[in-house]
Amino acid sequence: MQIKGYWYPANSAARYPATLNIQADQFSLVISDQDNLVGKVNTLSVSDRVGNITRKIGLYDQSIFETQANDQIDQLLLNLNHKDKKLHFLHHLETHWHWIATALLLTVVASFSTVYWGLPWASEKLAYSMPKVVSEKVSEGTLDILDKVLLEPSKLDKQQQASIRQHFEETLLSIQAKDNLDISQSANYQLKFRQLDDIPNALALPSGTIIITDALINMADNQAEIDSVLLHEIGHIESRHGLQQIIHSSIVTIGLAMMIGDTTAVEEMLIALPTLLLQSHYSRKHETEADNYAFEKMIQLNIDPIHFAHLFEKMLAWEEQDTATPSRPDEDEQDKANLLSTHPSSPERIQRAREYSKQYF
Amino acid sequence: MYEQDTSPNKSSSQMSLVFSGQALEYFKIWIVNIILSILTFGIYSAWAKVRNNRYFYGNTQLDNAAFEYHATPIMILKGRLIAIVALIIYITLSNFYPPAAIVFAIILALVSPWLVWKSLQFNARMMSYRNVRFSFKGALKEAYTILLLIPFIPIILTSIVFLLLYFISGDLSSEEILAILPIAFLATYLLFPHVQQLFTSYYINHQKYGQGDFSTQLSSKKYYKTYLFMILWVSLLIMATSTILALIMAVFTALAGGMDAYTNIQSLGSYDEEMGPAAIEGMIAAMIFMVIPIYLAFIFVGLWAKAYLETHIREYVFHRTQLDQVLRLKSNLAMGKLFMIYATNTLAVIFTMGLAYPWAIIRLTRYKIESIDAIVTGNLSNYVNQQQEKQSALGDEVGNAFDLDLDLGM
Repeated sequence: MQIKGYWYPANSAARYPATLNIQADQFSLVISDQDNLVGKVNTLSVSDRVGNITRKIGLYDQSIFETQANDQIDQLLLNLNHKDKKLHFLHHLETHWHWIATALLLTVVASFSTVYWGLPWASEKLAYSMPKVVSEKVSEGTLDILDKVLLEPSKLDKQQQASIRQHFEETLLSIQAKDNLDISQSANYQLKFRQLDDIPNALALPSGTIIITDALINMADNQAEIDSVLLHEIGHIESRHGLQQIIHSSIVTIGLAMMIGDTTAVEEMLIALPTLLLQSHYSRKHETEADNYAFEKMIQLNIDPIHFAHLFEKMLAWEEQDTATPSRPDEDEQDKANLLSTHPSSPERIQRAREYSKQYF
Repeated sequence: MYEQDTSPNKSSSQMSLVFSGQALEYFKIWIVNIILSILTFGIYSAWAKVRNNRYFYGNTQLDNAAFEYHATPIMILKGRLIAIVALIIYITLSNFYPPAAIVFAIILALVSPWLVWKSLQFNARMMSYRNVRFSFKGALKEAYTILLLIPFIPIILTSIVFLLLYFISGDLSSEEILAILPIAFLATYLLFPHVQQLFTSYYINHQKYGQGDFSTQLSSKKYYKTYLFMILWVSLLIMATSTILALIMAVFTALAGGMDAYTNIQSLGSYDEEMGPAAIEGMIAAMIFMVIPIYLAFIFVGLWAKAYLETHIREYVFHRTQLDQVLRLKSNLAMGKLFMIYATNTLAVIFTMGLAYPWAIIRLTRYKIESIDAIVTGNLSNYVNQQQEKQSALGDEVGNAFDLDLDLGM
């Protein structure tokens, strides 16, 4: 076998045309048609093949023979069972269509299942394996900051607050206590009344603190409607949605950083939209879960889930008059808006509450 | 001695660099890299990086000789493990103990010039051409001056001003702080072209090929001029884009508003001056419909700015760079063509959900490499590898671990 290429003396950029002749397991390198270097093929160290890049063959005197004759070199390595053929299987994978098709299919399947099942599953497992102290650490100070920047003390009279709180602790929490045999892992539930302009809203911190605004209490016509909101928030806390979202977004950040490496501002803009879509999809899933939790607990407590629907209809009416939009965008537009929304659309949630109600009451 | 292959080296000759990578061939390497990295939970990514770099270096040729990448996967793997541990610590801290995260970020800022310096050494040492290695001999002190001291001069000065104000008046009003802080941040941004110039000079002037020295003489004036024109052009582009987008929006609103007028006339027999429900619906529809075009429009403006800066800075820097008296470089990059490659690459990658990435990167690399001309006026054969000075085992281990890819904006 005869292989043409170039030869470089050790450590030098001087280049000489050369020919490598192979006879059985012996080689002889003819440099500039004059001199010979001879030896056994297994003393040569051959670089791994990648695509069709120039192959480098190191000789015992640190000099280098380089050649483009990749196929001949591969043949030689295989024939002589040379030690440097050990990574040759990578080149085999990289050049055979059935392996490429397999790799492509597996990659697509792996990417989609990671995003749709793997990440949520891992976030959930991790969230549940975190000790209670983590939830407390995450929430620590959040209420203080909210009180400083957003919230004002409640203007509800003390008696109303006390009665709602009593109902919350004695009725709503009693069924949590029954569910939760492991007291050390159960959240430390606290109900806080606050004012946020005149916006009806409620939110839950992972530690178990639930904040409900005056406007929401005033909007509710009866205790059952308040219960529906509180149970929804308890649902978030029981399912550790707050922690799950922190873990989920952390994994997405680490994953993208690892995949893309150092991003420039332009590339960051490019990945911002898909990341946002993924996060809001995840958040909508949690809202639906918390709704279902609320519906089931309401049925357990013998409260008609229709109250959830009633309260949400009032919220919808309030939103519409607040944004002064005379009509709702049609359904098709809503679908598009849905992609970016962190909550499922309200009509959908009201519809589900009605279905639950019909089924049990 | 033997008769050398000296054909192009006898006198001055100009030749283009050649990139021989193929999209389809690279696609196969790329997809195997990805699936093996997934199946090995990321461990293979170090092997993937080496194969990837060997492919790109090995397909870059000057005068029928290819460049070569020498790093071993184990070196890369160590660096990745350290980086991942640091990233996990940072994310955990920033979620659970924000003050500790700030301390961590400060420590990272303090070690980052060292990381950059180590990476410059590593990346240079791992590259060879015609059997001779590159190397980087810049001083660590200079990296700290360029990357940490100079960019923070405005912040340091501001702190001194605050201290002086505090001692004179015995009190700092928030108005004073609010007036001075934006100036400090603006000054930091204004320093950026200068820092980029200093860093590029640092990078090139301490780069070696064998015993040979690369050298360049750059002035910040050119950098500032380039950035200034880029900002002017981008402002014009943004104005033009916004006008077009606003016009499209207006047409949507007017079309839907026409329906309002029609229904109003029919039902009330009068024309309502205010926007009717259909007009508002039309506007909302336009806004939702326009989210993607607006997003893309601004990405294109960003890519245009990138292409503008790269073309001009590259041309300037290459023109002023040489290796001893033996080799000079010239860039023939055309801005319009580079922008078109960026724009079409971006669209192709988005619409194929990433699958067009190998094709895009090969196309971009080919254009960038093949637009470089080398003018050889001496004999490259005289270059020889320099003796590696002995480093402490630990220093070498840690140093090998970092291979940040640095962006010189070219």
